[in-house]
Amino acid sequence: MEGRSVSSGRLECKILSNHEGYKEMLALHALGALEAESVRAMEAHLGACAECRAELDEWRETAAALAYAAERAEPSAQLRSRIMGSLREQPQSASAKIAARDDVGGSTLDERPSSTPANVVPFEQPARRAWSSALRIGALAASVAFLALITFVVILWTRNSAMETEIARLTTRLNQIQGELAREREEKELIATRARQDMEMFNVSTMATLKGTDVAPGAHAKLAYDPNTGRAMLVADNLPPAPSGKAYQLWFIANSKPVPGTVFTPDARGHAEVRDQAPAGEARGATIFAVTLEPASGVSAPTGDKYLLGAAS
Amino acid sequence: MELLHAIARGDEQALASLYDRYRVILFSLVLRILHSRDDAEDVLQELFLQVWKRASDFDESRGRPFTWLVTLARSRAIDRLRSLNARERAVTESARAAGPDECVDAVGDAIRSEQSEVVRRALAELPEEQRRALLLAYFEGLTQTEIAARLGAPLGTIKTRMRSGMLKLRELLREQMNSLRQKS
Repeated sequence: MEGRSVSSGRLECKILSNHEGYKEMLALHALGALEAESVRAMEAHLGACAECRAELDEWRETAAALAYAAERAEPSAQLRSRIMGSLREQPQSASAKIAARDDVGGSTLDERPSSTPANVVPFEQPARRAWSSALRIGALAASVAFLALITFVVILWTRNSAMETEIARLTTRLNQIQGELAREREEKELIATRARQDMEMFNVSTMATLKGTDVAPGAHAKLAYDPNTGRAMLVADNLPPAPSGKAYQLWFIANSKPVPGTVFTPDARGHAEVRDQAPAGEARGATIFAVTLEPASGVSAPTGDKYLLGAAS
Repeated sequence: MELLHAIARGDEQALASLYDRYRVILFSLVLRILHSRDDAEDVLQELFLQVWKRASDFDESRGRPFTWLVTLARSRAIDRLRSLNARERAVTESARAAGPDECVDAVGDAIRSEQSEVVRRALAELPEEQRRALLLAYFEGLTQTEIAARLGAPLGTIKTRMRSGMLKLRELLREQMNSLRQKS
């Protein structure tokens, strides 16, 4: 053990340094008597120490024998059918099915990292194979003749339970996609930050910094504006949430005359990115920009409080 | 072993056989922990569904199916026990603490099978204080610190008792384990 700890870096060295101490605690770990903190340290040690893993397996055996000290009791007869009945709603894990399909049997057991305790269940693997095979079936069904389709439908119908399994697996896939969407949302936020930086470099002749007014002292925004095309982009932060039925509206102010711009609602964190196009005419000469709180449908002349205000720099 | 492989391949009949073989010991264990037939049946159902979904995780190099199932069942039952509301649990515990020595009762009424005979005899050979600490950890899910508080003994003493108890139990069971292994 010492040789390994020297060669494999400081963390392992630390984990292994008290090998004898962990060895002493293995029996209590098998009994489930260690405090959570010790369990975490123990798991880290077990991940690195095959000797302790093997000894823990022995202690588990001893601990499991204690189950026989329990008074004998029979579950109700209904439980068996309840369990068997619920199997169909519970797809087996993708890895289990693949193992079965490819007939590789026990080899999946060997692929498991040796540090995983035998009673730890890993998270569901994405059911990619099932997904792509469903797609393949779908593509096939679309391309074969009517008769084949009918046959397929009959097969589907008779193998209803198999389809239920499939649906459950697709549900898993859906959850996975939702997870991906959440990740994408995070990416979008990153992009938003980048967009703000990029805006400084836009080929625009007008840049305005909008400051929060007394009603929203924390709010601030930047606006890039091209008087030739009327294209504008506003990136606002720290706007208070718009009350129900209300929204913010951008105004282009030229010669003290406000020209209505787009209506928008910031996200939960008060962030908004708005692309707008000022109408041709007077508005194109705007040098002052404002954001007011208005009815959600927007108005043609400002009625509500100003939240952001700034002039072209 | 073959049953778990068959279950991993999606063989429902194999799961039914596994259930038939282990339902009594697993239910007895879980009921002993939870003291409620409804809770115990729920845990058993969850357990067998977990086995159905995860039979391929079973690693025969790490122990017998019996040990795997019992370990899973116990940790599921203890998790549920811990999630019971604290007040309810406090009441049950104080009631139990006031009762007779449950360990001896449990041993007396243990399952009348050859396996349970072996365990019963081994437990009976342990000093009472060691046996008590082991059973508190295993069936009540108490940690060493909680056991020390419950029994009013220093933590160091409890650790030693439990370790000695486990060592002795392992020694006593070691020879019998082989016959247990052949049976399951």
